[in-house]
Amino acid sequence: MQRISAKLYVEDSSAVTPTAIIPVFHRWISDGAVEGLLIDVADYKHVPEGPGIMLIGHEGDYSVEYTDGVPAFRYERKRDRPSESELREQIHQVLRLTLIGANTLAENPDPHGPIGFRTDEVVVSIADRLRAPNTAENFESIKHEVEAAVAEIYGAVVETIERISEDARVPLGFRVRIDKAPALKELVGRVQTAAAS
Amino acid sequence: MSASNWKDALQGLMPDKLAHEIDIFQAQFELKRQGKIEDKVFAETRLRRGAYGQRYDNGQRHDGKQTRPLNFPCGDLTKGPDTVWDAPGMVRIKIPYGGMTPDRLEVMADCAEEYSDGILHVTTRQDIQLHFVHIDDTPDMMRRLASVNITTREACGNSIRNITGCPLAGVCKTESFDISPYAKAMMEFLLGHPDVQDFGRKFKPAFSGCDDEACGLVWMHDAGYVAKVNAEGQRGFKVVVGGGLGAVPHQAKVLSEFTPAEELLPQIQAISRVFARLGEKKNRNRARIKFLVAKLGIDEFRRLVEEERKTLPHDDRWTAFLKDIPDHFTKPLKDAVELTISAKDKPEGFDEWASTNLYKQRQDGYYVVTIALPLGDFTSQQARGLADVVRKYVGEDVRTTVEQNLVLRWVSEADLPKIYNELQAIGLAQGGANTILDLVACPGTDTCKLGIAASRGLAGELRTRLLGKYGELPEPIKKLHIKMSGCFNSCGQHHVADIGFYGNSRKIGNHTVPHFQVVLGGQWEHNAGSYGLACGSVPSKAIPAVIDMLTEGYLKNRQDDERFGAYIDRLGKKQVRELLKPFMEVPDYTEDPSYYTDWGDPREFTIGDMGVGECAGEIVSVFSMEASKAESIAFDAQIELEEGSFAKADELAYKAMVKAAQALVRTQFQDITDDPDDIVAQFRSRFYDTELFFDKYAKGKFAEMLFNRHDNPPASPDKDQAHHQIEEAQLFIEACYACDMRLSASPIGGGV
Ligand code: HEM
Ligand code: SF4
Repeated sequence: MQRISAKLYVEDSSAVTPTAIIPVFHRWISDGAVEGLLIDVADYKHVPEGPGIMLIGHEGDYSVEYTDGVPAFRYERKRDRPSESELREQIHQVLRLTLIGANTLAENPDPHGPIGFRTDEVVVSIADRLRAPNTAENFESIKHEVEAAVAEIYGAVVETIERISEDARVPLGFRVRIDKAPALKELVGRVQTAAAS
Repeated sequence: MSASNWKDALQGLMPDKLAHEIDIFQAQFELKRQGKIEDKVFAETRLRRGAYGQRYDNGQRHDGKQTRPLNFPCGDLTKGPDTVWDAPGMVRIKIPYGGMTPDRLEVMADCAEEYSDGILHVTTRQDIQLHFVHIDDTPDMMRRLASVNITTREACGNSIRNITGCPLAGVCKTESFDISPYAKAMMEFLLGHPDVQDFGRKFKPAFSGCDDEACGLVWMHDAGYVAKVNAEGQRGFKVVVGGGLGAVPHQAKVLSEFTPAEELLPQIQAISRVFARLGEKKNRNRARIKFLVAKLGIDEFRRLVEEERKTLPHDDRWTAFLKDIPDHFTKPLKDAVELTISAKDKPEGFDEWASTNLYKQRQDGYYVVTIALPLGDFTSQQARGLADVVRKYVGEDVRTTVEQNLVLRWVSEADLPKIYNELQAIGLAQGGANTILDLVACPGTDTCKLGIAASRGLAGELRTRLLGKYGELPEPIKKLHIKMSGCFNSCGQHHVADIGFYGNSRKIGNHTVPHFQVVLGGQWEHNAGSYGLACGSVPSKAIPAVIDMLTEGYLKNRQDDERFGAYIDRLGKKQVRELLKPFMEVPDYTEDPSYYTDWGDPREFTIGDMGVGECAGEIVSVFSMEASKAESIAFDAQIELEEGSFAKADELAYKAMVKAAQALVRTQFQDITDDPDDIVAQFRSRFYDTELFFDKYAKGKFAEMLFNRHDNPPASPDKDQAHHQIEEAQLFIEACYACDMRLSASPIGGGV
């Protein structure tokens, strides 16, 4: 797929100031704090409901973005990995990096205090208008892959999964709500162990 | 969807020629991988197709502490000299006269989302740019754009660039006629034309509907066209050539007071041939047409163009387009209906927005709506929302502007509150269009390889500050234009702003401090009728305070309705310099380290990412002392220029250059004499012939300015010449500073 992304919303919008994210992302580059080749920080905080502050990478971009009006942590995979041939595996990896990235930010010693993320709602998007245009059929068929990838990591039941938009121009998107979702730290513990094993 | 790739999926939707060209472009990737295409050739191929390089694409980046390699998986594979294949690049999409349609907007939005970072950026020449694009994605992206008849071809490279035009064309109150179909015809005629393939440098045309307003900025373009109707009612253009901003700004010269519309295309063809034949090819720093016009003189240039015109073989396309020119190039979708809404039913904020973002069209009952984009950026999601608004209220037409905004035309008065609400819902109803809030900035160090200082960082900071107090700003201040560029190349068009800035840097102790040169009193009106002059370099972090000082002074001391430019002229550069002086101080690093970082970028400032080594050594204080003398001589030259003593101004500017050269020579040869011949000769052998003076991009450009003036002193320089000499002196001095900085530096960190 051209682009696959996942995002988590913050618990408290007022805990996030975009300006404070910029030095954090720069530090991530210096420290190699998250996976992937990290290139630069792009500042779009002036754009209303925009991509916010982005950490541009080679394999994917991390961001604290505002596209739904509320700050969210997002990871978007830009390049397929040859080793991940199955869509479910690709979604799994994107979720994994989203969780780890969000947790790295949550644990960041930020002057504005810790940022918490809700884990009971995840948004997965696929921007690939050639292979996965936003149609009802594609939603139905890919939904199971998304559900399975989420359930696997969460070890919990997916409560609902909604199509984000019926506008065919918008990327295919899934809003996933999870019942009794484990906390971020626990989820990260799982994906890290899974990756190590 | 059955096709497994875009090439098959879009078969039949792309114009054959474009489709074929894109296939060839893609095939060249494979040849490049196999080492069968040279780096330089591949780079030019890519540039001509609109795929530009971007900062850090040499595979390294300074993180504030050290330069680190960016280990892209492609290894040694490059897409140009010193340009790593995998490194993200910029794609420039050509938008002739800024004209877009909802369909095109949507495809660009798709491309931004799938290949870039979800942001569409409007440039100061009405193009759309996408950043952080991988070269492997560009052929598919070009196919998708081609399917709605958009090309990135010749958006970069040495060819005819985008043709700009007033966004109000067809609806403006002061225009002679709608220039859009003429600009479109010229674009179509010249795209890929054999006569425009052999330029030494890029060529940028612009169209304007009238003389007085700023929209077309024709005087700062390689070729500018102002619509005119002659006494017989015939349509045509006043044609000016040889203008340009860049390092040395030139005002264009009048080639013809009236060129009939029938002659528009053959004339540009003749101009192109003369430029291709006589324009400089070897030295790209003197290759723009402005240098040719300056060298030949406008009369000789005109004669050559007229001669050339006579020899051109007839081409039906010269006049074919005239038959199709409709009376109204764009028409309203809806009838003009008066707005009868009562005050209490008006949406909140509507009146304030309407006071700055609406323009009453020539046609009764219709308005132009300006969508003010912060720093020229909007998202894919906003682009789709906008496409809906366009279809619903105006049909087809939405345009980009040189102020990095968008406009909707032919909006019926009754629809204004509804449009406002709908734009508000997609975050596109920001007020303050064409006011001090409407800042213009080139990409600067965010993405441009040549950037020295963070023009977008500065613009973002100023915007935040101005937004906070916009309501209380007095009217004369609201009306000011502020523009900034990240370096002297002037992509942000700072020369034509009331208050302009361009980035440079100064070495203080062991550190480098980002600065902006303050350029005041440029004119936006009359199609960029006059340029501002540099008044002094101020640390980036002091710029907001400089703006406060300048605007407060203007408010307090202006006479009657005096414009800002006139006020600055009245004060004189000397006085302005005095005003700036207190802001030029840089506090010690230990006292205020914030001065040593740039706006929006917490890394300790460096110019290392431009390809120049980092500095850690001691400064050569002898150099700084002498170089600052050179600066003050250059400053005196400006004073002479203001007082109308052009010969003196020219002479002083030259002396300033010699002084700066001497300062540099002294770092190697303590006993250098004061004799200019001696200094220039020493400078040449020690710094030019050895290429020590050369920087990665400008090479020997600025040294040649010194040699030129030394070898060919003008007999009786006029105002233009004196002005250029001063600009050149300033650039030369800057380059001496940069050279000293490089030479006194010892590279640190890996990979330099
Ligand atoms: C890699 C990035 C870029 C490079 C290397 C670059 C280089 C240059 C150079 C060398 C000049 C001076 C040309 C001359 O007059 O001789 C120039 C002028 C200019 N560029 Fe760029 N540029 C870049 C990006 C941009 C961007 C992103 C924009 C638009 C936002 C832009 C718009 C302009 C304009 C408007 C001018 C000057 C006006 C004129 O003479 O037409 N450039 N650029
Ligand atoms: S003015 Fe300089 S920094 Fe800005 S875009 Fe042009 S070349 Fe780059």
